[in-house]
Amino acid sequence: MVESSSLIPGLVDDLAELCLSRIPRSSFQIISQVCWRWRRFLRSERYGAVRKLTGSVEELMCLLVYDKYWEVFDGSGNKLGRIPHIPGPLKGGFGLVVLDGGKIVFIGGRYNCVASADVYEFNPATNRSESL
Amino acid sequence: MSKKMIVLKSSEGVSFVVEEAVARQSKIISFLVEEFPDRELPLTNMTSEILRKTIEYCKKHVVEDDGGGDSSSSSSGDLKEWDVKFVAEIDQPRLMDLLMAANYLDIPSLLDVTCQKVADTIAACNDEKEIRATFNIENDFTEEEVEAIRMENQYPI
Repeated sequence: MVESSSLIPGLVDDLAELCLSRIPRSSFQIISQVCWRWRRFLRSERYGAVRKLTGSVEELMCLLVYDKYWEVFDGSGNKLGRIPHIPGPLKGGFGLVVLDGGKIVFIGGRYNCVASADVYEFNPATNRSESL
Repeated sequence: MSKKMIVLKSSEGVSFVVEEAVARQSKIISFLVEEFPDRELPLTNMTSEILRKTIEYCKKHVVEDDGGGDSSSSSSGDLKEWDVKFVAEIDQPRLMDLLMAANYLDIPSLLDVTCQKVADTIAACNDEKEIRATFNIENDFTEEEVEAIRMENQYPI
């Protein structure tokens, strides 16, 4: 029998991962509040990898508003929310590069007339930024 | 000319006589039939009910594949419709068992429709509470964690 600590009771985790990966991104907020096991999986690199494997990858459009925050839309134009703040002071005038895997790199910028040497990479698959 | 039949045996020991072409939609059975021709194949972790459902699916798909003929595009549309109805009529615990069976027997198209049905059921829920109730999942977040998540979700994607 499948343990009660499985992602979805009644399924082995490999198969539960296949199911969770097919859920559209617009439900991401709700499904990441179900339990820790789901949350951990949805924030893992593995989630992105399984989505790629099953052809469930969705195109998102990230729009920089007033040079300050990012609105995220899905392919049908539904607003999904915003990209979480990049750590550190709120900067403007930063350089941007989008990498092949869909990661967004924020380079430098300025705040209070001070130039910043910070470089952060945002990964939409895990919804997190990390300093490079 | 009579069609070649094979025998599949469920966990309860019930035998199902199935056309080989039907059963061969399972890659595992296809392999076993070649390795062990003229043998009964025991499927010890599949109940009669789930095996019957699996065979029903395979029968439908083998007929459509053979008889598609000139109207193949409309028949593939009909087949999709049939698949949707097929999984809609199954209750949740059995859907899980059928999904596991599709994986065990290696029937990619059945795995596809059952996984999609689970995903659709989750996506159709209004909130996380409904998902937990539907799938019998325990809420293991503390009050503080729920609050932290709520803050974080000001910026969800």
